[in-house]
Order: sequence, then C-alpha cells, then structure tokens
Amino acid sequence: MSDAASEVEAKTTISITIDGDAVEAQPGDNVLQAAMKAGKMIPHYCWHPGLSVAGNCRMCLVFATKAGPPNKPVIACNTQVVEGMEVETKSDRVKAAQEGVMEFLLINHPLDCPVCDQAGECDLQQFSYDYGRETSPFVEEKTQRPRKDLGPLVRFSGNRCIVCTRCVRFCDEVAGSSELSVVNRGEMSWIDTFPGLELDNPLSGCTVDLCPVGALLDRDSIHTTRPWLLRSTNSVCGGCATGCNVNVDTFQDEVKRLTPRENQAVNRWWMCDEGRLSYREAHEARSGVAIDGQEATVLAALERARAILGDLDGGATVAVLGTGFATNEELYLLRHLSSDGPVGLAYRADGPTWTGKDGFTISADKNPNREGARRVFGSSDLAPDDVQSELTAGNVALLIVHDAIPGGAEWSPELVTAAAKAKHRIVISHSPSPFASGADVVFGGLHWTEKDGSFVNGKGRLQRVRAALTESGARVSDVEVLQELAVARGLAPRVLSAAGVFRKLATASPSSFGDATYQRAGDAGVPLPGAEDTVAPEDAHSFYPAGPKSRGHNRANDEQVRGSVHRKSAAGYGTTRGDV
Amino acid sequence: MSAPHTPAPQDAPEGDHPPLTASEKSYLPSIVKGIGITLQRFFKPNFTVQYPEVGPYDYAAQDRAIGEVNPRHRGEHILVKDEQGREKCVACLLCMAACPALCIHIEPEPAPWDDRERRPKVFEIDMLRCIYCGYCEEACPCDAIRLTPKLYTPTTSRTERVYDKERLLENNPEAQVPQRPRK
Amino acid sequence: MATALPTADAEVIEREFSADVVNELEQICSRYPERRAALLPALRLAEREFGKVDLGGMQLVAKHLGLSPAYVLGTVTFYTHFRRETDGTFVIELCRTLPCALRGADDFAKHVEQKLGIQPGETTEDGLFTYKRAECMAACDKAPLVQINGYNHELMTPEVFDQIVDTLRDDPEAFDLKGGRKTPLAWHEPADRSATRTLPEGEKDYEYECLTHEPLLLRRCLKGRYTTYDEYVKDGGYKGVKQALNMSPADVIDFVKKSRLRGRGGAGFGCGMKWGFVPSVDQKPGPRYLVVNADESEPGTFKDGKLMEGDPHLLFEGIVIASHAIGANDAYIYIRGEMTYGAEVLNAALEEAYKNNVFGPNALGFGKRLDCTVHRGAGAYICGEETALLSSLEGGRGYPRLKPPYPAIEGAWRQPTIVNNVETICNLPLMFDKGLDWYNSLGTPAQSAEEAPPRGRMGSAGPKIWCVSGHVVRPGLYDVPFGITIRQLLHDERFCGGIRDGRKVKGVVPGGSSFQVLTADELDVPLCYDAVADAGSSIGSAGIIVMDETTCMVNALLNVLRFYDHESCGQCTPCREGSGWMTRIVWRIAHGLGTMEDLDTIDQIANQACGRTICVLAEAFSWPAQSYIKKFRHEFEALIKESRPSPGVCAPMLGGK
Repeated sequence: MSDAASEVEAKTTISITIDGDAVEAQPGDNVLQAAMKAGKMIPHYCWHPGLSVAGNCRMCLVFATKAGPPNKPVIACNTQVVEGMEVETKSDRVKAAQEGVMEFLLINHPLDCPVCDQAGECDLQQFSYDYGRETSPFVEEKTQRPRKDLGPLVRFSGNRCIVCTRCVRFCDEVAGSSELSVVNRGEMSWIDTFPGLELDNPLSGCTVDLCPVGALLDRDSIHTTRPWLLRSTNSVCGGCATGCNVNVDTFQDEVKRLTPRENQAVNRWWMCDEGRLSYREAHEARSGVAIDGQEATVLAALERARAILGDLDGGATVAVLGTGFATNEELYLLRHLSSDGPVGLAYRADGPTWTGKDGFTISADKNPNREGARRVFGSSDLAPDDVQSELTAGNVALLIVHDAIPGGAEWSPELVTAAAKAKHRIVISHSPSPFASGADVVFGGLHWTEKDGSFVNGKGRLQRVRAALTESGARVSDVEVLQELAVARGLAPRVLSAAGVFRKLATASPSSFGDATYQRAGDAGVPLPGAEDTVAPEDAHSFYPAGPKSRGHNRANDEQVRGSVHRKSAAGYGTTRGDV
Repeated sequence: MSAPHTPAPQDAPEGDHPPLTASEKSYLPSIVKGIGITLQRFFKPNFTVQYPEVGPYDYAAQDRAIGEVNPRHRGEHILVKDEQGREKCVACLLCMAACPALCIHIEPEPAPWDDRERRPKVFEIDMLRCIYCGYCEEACPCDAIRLTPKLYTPTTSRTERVYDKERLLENNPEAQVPQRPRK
Repeated sequence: MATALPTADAEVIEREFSADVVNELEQICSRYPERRAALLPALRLAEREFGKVDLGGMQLVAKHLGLSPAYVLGTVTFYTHFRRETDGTFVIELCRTLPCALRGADDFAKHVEQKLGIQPGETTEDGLFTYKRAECMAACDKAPLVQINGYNHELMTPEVFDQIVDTLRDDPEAFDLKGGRKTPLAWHEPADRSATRTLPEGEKDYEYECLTHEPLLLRRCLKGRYTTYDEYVKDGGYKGVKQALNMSPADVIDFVKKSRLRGRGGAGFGCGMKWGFVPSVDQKPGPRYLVVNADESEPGTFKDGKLMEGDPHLLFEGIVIASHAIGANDAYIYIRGEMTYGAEVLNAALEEAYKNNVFGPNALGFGKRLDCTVHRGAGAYICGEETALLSSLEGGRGYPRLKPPYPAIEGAWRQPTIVNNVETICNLPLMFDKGLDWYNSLGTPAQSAEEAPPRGRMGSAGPKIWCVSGHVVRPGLYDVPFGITIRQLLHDERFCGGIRDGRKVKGVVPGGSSFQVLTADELDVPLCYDAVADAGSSIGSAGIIVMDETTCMVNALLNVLRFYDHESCGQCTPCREGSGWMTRIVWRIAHGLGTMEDLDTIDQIANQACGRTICVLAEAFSWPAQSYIKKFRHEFEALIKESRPSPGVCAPMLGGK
C-alpha cells in the first residue's frame, strides 16, 4: 500500500493516450497542448497559448473519453487532460468533423490566394490541404465585408476574416488597449475599430503574426514578396534593451521583414512595431570605406590600418570610442586594443517605455548592449570626457572610433574637434560619421542584421545575433577589422571568428560571463551571472513557435539554414559564421 | 561504269584492287556528274525559309506549307492583357515558384486600381535560361502568362534576351485572344 | 444581417450626461458587482437622453464605465433594438417570423410599404417614419404585430395602420404610442380603442380563455392590466413563499425535486436537479445569483410576457423562493428589449415589492438581503440561451460560453448562477402553497426504471401554459395541464376551435420553430415532454404553431431558416456559415432555382453542424430543415422539378440573399 501511495505521489504527469499512443501530459494542460507537446498536430485557428481560450473556430474537434457526453466531439483546446483519457484525432469521425468545419470556413472565403500576402504561410491553406475535403457543393454568392486600414501598420480584409478573435483578445489581454472588437452579428460580423480611433498600440504588428489567415496584413511589407522566397535567420532585435528574439527574413540579400521568434524568457511571442520596422536602418545611409578621405577598397584600407598599428610605439596611448550598439565581441576587442588607454562609450538617447497588460515591456533604454558594455568594461557609464581630455592634451597616438548606432551617436562637437589632435584615427562606423573627415582610415560598420556576435539584454541574458545578409566582398566585419588591428599591434596571434572571440572574452571574465558559450546560448539565450532573468535555455522555448503554424512548412528547420549566412569576407577569411 | 567492287574484308587480298579505267583515272566523269547534280538542284524548287525575316509558319510567302508550327508549340511567352489593356498578372509569384529553370523574376507592388490589389512592378524572363516547359502557364491562376507558338527571335547579345514586362506584353499580339487555346 | 455600422470618417459628437443622469447611472451600477454590467442600461440611458445611441453616446458610456469605445461599438452593433442615428422619429417594426407570416404579415408588409412609400430598412424623407422588418416579438396570437417605438400594436389591419400613420403625420404628439393607453400602465383600456384597433365584424374579443377549469397560472392575468401587490395578497399571494422560507434551502431543493418541475424555457431539465448542482459555500465561496430568463424570443412563444405583464408578483414570489433555495442575495430579471411595456410593469411592481419588503435588506422579515433588478436586453434571440444571457447581463455581446463550466458552478461573474425561465419560477409559489400532492396530480406521472428502461422517466408535472398561434380559429394562451393531445387542443370548441375557414391542418410545430414539425396524422400525441419526444419532436417552450393546407412548407422553412440566420451570434464556424448557407439554398428552392442535390446538401450541412457548436442554435436550424424535408419532401421536389417559385402564405425573402 505504501508503494502505491508513493507511486501516486511521485507521479506528477497525467497519462493519456492519443490515437493509441501513450502520452504523459502536464496537469492543467488541455488536450491540444498535450498533443502538440507530444509532436502531434491538431489543427486549430483560434487557440493560442498566450491568449485566453475562445473555442469558436471548432477546428480542433476531437473525440475523447472522460470529457462529457460520450460520442460527442469536444474541442481539444478547452478540454483538460484527465488521467486515463483516450483521445482520437485521426479516426474517421474526427476527420469528418475536421472536413466539415473546413468546408464551412471556406464557403464564404474569397479566392484571394494569388493576391493575398498570407499565401505560403496561411493556416487556412495548410489545414485545408491536410484536413479538408477537395470539393464542396456550395454554389451561392459569398458574403462581402469591408476592407480598410485599421491602423498605421495593419490592413484588414474583411472577406478573409474567419472571426477567430485572436486579434481582439490580443489587444485586450496582451496590449491592454482594446482597440478592436467584433461588430455586427452572424455571418456579417467582422473586426473593426471605433471610428476615429486607430489600431495603434505599440504591439499592433503582432496581430498580423497572430492572424491565421490573410485578413490582417502588415502594410509595411504588403505586396512585396512571398514567404517561400524568404530565408530566415534567427537573431535578436537591436532596437532596445529588451532584446526580442526575431527572425530576419531576407531575399536576395535584402531584409524584407522582421517577425518575432518565440522566447518565453524575453518576449514570449511578441515584438514591438518600432523594432519590426528597424530593419530599414540596414539599407539606409551607410558609411563607405576611405583612406585619407578618398574612397578605397577594403583590402587597401586594411593594409593601411595594419601599417598604422604596426608603427605604433609600445607605450603609445590608444583611445577608444565605442557605443552601446556594439556586440560583446566588438566591445571586448576595443577594450583589448585600448589596453589601459581612455575609453568612452556613447548611447542612443532613452526613449519611451511601455508595458503591456501581460507584462511585455518595451525598454526605455534604446541600446541593445548597454548591459554587455557594463560587463565587458566593468561599468557602462564611461562618458567620453577622459578621451576628450587626453585628445585635447595631445597624448593620443591612435583614436579608434567604433560607432555602431544606425544614424550615428550624438558625439559632442568638442569631442569631434578634439579628435583631430590624435596622431592617427581609424573609424569604423555604420553611418557616415563626423569623425570620418580627416581620419586615416574609415571602414563601413555592420548593422546588427549583418553581423555575428552577442548582446546582453537589460535583464542580463546573453543572446546571439547572426548575420542574415552576405554582401560578400562589399564589407568586412567589425570583429575582423578590430582583430586585424590587434594582430598588427601584436596583441593577438591571429584573427578568430566571432565565436572564438567570445570564448576568449568569456574565459577572461568569468564573473561577468560565467560559463556561457555560443553553444549554450543557441537560439534561446542563456542567463549570465547576476542576471535578473534566470530562465535556462531549455526552458525558453515552448512547443508553440510564433507566427502561423504553416510558417514552419515553408522554411527549413535545421540549424544549418536558420543559422548565419555563409559570409565570404572581403579580407578572405572564408566563412565568418559564428558557430563554434 | 560498274561500281567499284568492294570485296568483303575477310577475303580482300591486301593491295588487290581492280584496276581503274582510263576515265576513272581522269576523275572528270565523277566531277561532271557531281556538278550536274548540283546544277539540277538549281532549277528545282527550294524550301529554304528566309528565317528570321520570314517565320516558318508564314507560308503565304512561300509556295508550300513547310514546317507549319503546331499551335500547341511552346514558344515565346506573352503577358496577357485584359479588356482594359492592363496586364492580367497579379504578381502571385506562382510561375516564379513553378519554373524549373528559375528564369522568371517578379517583384510585386500594390496596384492603383479598385478591382485588383496587386500587379507586377518588375516581370522579367531570361529567355535563354527558359526551357519552354510551360509550367508557368500551368501554374498561373489568372491566365496571365501564355506560351505562344512564336519561335525565338535571334539577337546579337544575351541581355537582349532578358525580356521585361513591356516586351512581354507586346511580344505576340496575335496571341492576345480572350480564351487561352485549349491544350 | 448587419445593423447599421458607422463609417470610419463618421462624425463623433461629444456628449455629456447631466448630473442627474450621472446619479441615475451610478445607482444602476450599484446594483451589479461590476460596472461593466451596467452597459446595456447605460446605453438605454443614452438612448433616452439623446434620442438615439450614436457614436458620441457610445463614447460617453465607455468613458463612464471604464470600457473601450470599440467594445461598446461591438456591443451596440450586436443588438437590433437600439435606436440608431439613421432612425426616424417613429420606428415601425413589423414582425416577419413564421406565426405572423402565417397570418398575413407579408401581405400587410406590402401595404405598409405602399402607405409609407419606403422599403424595409429605410426612413421616410421627412424623417418621421423608419420601417423595419423585425423578428418574433412574442405576441404571436395577436398577429400581425407592429411595434411602434417599442410598444406593441396588435392585430394590425391596414385600416388601423393607416389611421395611426395619418394621425402621426398630422401631429406627432397627438397619439399616445403606448397602445392608445391613457395612463402609462393601463393596458388595452377601451377608452379610445378605435384608434388602436378595430376588430373585424363578428369576431370575438380575444381574451385569455381557459374553459375547463380555473386557470392556474393565468388566473390573475385576465384583467387587462397588471395585478397590484394588494390585489395579489388579497387573492392569497405571498403564502407559499412563507412555507418555503421556513424550510432549509436543502429541503426546498428536495421539495422541488420531488415536485418533478421541469424547466419551461425549452430544455425541460429538472429544476430541482439543476438547483442541486450549486456547490456549497465551502466548495466555492462567494455570492450566488438567480437570473430569470425573460428573454422570450422563440417564435411561437408568448407566455412569459403575458405572465409578467399580468401577474408580476407571482414571479417575484417565485424569485424569493428560488433565491432562498440556492442562497442568492441578488436576482436579475433579464427581459428582452422589445418588451418595453413589460419592463415598465415589472419596474412598477418592483417598487411595490420593495415598499412592502418583499425585497430589500430583510426580505419578508427572514433576515437575509434579497435584491431584484430588472435588466433589459436589446434585441437578440441568442440571449435566451443561458450562457449568452449571462454574457449579455455582464455587459457586452451576447455570446454563448463554452460549457463546461456550467453556470451552476461558474456563471454570472464567475459565481454559481441559476438561470430559470419565467414560467418555471411562477410554478414555485403554487407548489409551495398548495402542496406536492396537488402539484403532482396535474400532468403525467413519472415512470420507474422497469416501466421505462434504463433510468425511468420524470413525466411532466404541474400546470402548463400552451401558446397556440397560426391558422387556428382562436390563437392564444391556454392554461391546460399536460396530457391533452394536440388534436384536442386544436380542435376542441372550448379551446382553439379548430382550423380557420374550415380548412384542414397540415403541420404543427409543437415547441417553437426550433423543433421538428408533426404532420396531420401525428397529432394524437399527448402534450408532455416524453410523449412528444418519442414522436420525434419536443414541446420546447410550448410554442405551438399551426399550419393549414394553404401553407407552402418550403416557404415556411425558408421563414424559419431566415430567422436563425438573422439571429446567429456568429461566434462559431458551423452555425455562422451553415445557417447562411442553408438559408440561401432554401431561398433558391423557394424561387424555383433549386436542384435535387440541394436536398442532400441541406442534409449534409445539418449533419456537419449539429453537435459541433458552442450552443444548440445549430440544432435549432438543422432539425426543422431535416424534418420539413423528410415529411414534406414532395413539396420541395415539386418546386425543384418544375422549376417554379413557391406560392403560399409566407412570401419569399425580401430583398433576396
């Protein structure tokens, strides 16, 4: 008896069978969650793990014992698992139910696939193919509902809406702004805003991700591409210190859009509109490569830079100016190069902060790596005053400026004038920099969508950014340039990949970076010592990725493709892919 | 003159050929015969088609129907126009996805019309890469692209053979019929 | 069918409530545990103050209740009974559902269009009249029914209608819209009846007649006005409740279980058994709520409205008993929006009840607080479904909820809630006053497990009101216990008096339009829950609709399906899409454009929708469709094979679909 009791005590999962297979489910899960965690798909539209249960699409109908009257189908999303429950998801009667619901969904749905942006990542397309019937006797006229822009980012096509209310629940429960509601009744119901009030909460773009069909579409990227053409890279947004995990979707070496990637520790399934549009920075005013003000090739610039570094005396002062937008590797290299010289860090100005109803926060700190700077330098509060005074005093042999902020940091004019006093000046800048005129060498710096590296977000989580754009031949990465300088100065034997630099960095400061490795950080990030965020990488991903379920059908899922692109560096280093 | 005797290999003695006659030795009869055949050809009707100035199916210019192209022949593409003269294409990119040779490049853009949401900003087909399989025509949901029996037009450079949207719209006006021919 | 939706660039007029109205609103809010529940009453306030519910009013209400304007917009557009910006001074609504259509409402509609010169949904040029076709307004025995600004005008004839319109045109202030009543709560006073209706010569005045015995439930409803508190007490009222309050709640529930009272709203679930599901305070702490479902919208049913308008104190007494049984301190009467007069009666009677301590901090002297609030709906059949009613009561769109959890466990404001029909509650005072033996002697007996395997049957106990409408000589309410056969009820001279004009009956729907039809040779079934269920239909809400041989069943089905298409809430896929699809198919058949495959398609839709939805509206449109086609297939096939449109009583759908 005591054995049985301890057995029951020890068991914390609930045993059910799904289609005859034994599944251990978590208490409190519903059948849909249990099935998806076990790798079985039950088609659904209106359910989402981040939102309340609506149960109105009726697509997830299954037959389950111990769930109400026998032989009556139940919706899997609202049926709690019970010990010994037997669930059918593939029997004939379940198929009949799925085909029936699918038919009902399609009868008033317009034949918009050729012009609808959701084609290729549309749950309706995917589930009708997998679970629907080929033909239908419907010959009537379809209902017509309005098409309008609901807000600055979201366009609504009423004909396509299946009234699953995911968007309404999102605005109510996650954003808390409740701009959307279902209006009218019956088959003429659709989603609308109050006249004069737009859908403009800071997370409005997430309704587009949530919408399983093409009723809500992103105005920014509408009618520009198709999802099957996009190559998706796992990265982290560089817009603020929240560090939302994103997919960088590119086509022919141009970023087409950013979509959120699920990370339960950081951003759940969401990202803000500002971050969503921040990819445009990568294609705006970029700095070129120059030697003494003349346009030059990258190789020539590297030659010259190596020469400068090689000629420096042993005790020469190297001053360094960096920004909170640089990756940990770049910051480490800057520190390494400065040795004990003066260091100054600039940051993008603070902006508005916002917290949604479910706790999602847009950080006021608009720099992705202030925390990383703090961990690399010991303090993030390094105003360029020291640098300025050393420069004015004329002590500086070499000034290295690394400005990774899109649009440039707000350097003070005095600092820029003082910079002229440095004997040599090397500038690596994302945008045309005020330090460029009169500089010995200017390199074009990379945007965060183009580089391999890592950021530490405001809560102390280390997350990897990966290069999504190649532009091979056109640029050399900041990490490579800085290492070239270090090698030329004799501080390092050779140039490593970003992963290699990180290994050095982590070994050099275990109190700041612990035992973190790129491997461990993977796609989910890893908490660093002393971090507010303590979620382990294996707990950061749930069974439910962001975006339509069908998005996974068109993308390769293996690490190979979702990792960085193979960048052939202009300096001839082969791949700069950051994987170990 | 008898035909030269070719003994079977196994019983041809080495170096044992029948001796040439005098006229054979002079080679003149053979030459005259050959030239005669050529001269005969001068006066027989020829079936040379002055391509590319004349297409092979334009047999009104010739006296006989030579090589009339099968109306099902998959030749150059056209972009089909609707009654208002706009391209029917809505830039769904299905032809781009279906093409085995990856020779179609399309960039969509929002359309300024009420009754249609999008249209192609850029529509290019690299006719040299194209294998004229017709998958694009099969994939198209709008009857916007058709392969017509028009044979390729020779050009002197490769870039001329990348047809853009305007070229494709005007490529074969005869084929701009309302109903796609049944195949 | 959409209610008018404002366009994106519509002007929003800023509005304010006066201090008095704000006070009134706060008073209303204090009667509910959450402010959001005051949404429908607040919108009615705006309607009253500004003459209509417009965007400015919606924004104002949103501000006062702490809701988003979009939420309020969604709520307003869900219901049909709010006055909107496009409505004229007088909103004329003509019922178009089956019972009224059977008695000529569609022909009358043509007359209305001619007289006013507008089509349904339009307003006259002078802004005086808006004409709408509305769904069943629970006055089916007085068909054709017209509502003007929310008040019923019954037995409408073209002459009387013309009189009314001309009077209103000449002087919009002259005519007292409340049915010609002189005082707000007088009812059908004959003082100036000529203005309200003129009866065709030779017709009897229709009063509620029960001729075999003393009417049981309707006995005080025959005066033509409501029974006041004093009259009620003098007649022996508020006695049964004292019996009940002297028993413990558990005993009361037991008593009601033994009485075999079954819900009169349509489902017929054992009332005592439902009360027994309410968990104990230890299992689930917090308040309990009693909600009375007075949202009588099932076509063919009109008993609850008349009960409330005639004998509100009977309802109140029942409310006290039920609240005691389940431990509720708050009771809400959710009355449908179209019953404007009914709500007025209830509120007047409620004042009397509070004055006489029936409700209040020490209800009837038994030491517990009991408050009762009248909550008006705003025009949605779906709010008669108990969870949709709770959604509407809590303030918002009337969406049915997922079950489980059932309302007895988790209902209004997540607390245990019992929702009972008006007639069910009205049974309680009688049973406690006159005792179980009397109560159980009425109706049909229970059957044990041996008699009716496997679990036996409850039978049907207690008094019952039957609502007969359609083609009988005397449509009306009949207070006759269970057991009478349909044929007896229809043909007996003491009751309905047979079919009008000496015709023959063709089809009878025994329980409201949601149920299967019975043919002429199936009418010998006794009217009770079990026998009618055995016959393949149900007594539902006792709305008996009688169709004679002039009725085209295709048109009748079209009318019924159009009703469900209009009333579907649109939440879940099968009902939202299936109701519209089925309606369109039957519309085509009724217009001579059908095919034989259509009959199979209808069956397919019905099978695909039933059992797969959140509430049973899918069954409500599927069962009639399948049963009409099964029993009258020849009529459908005739129209299809001959490709001709249907003749018949119910005209084809206006405007087409």
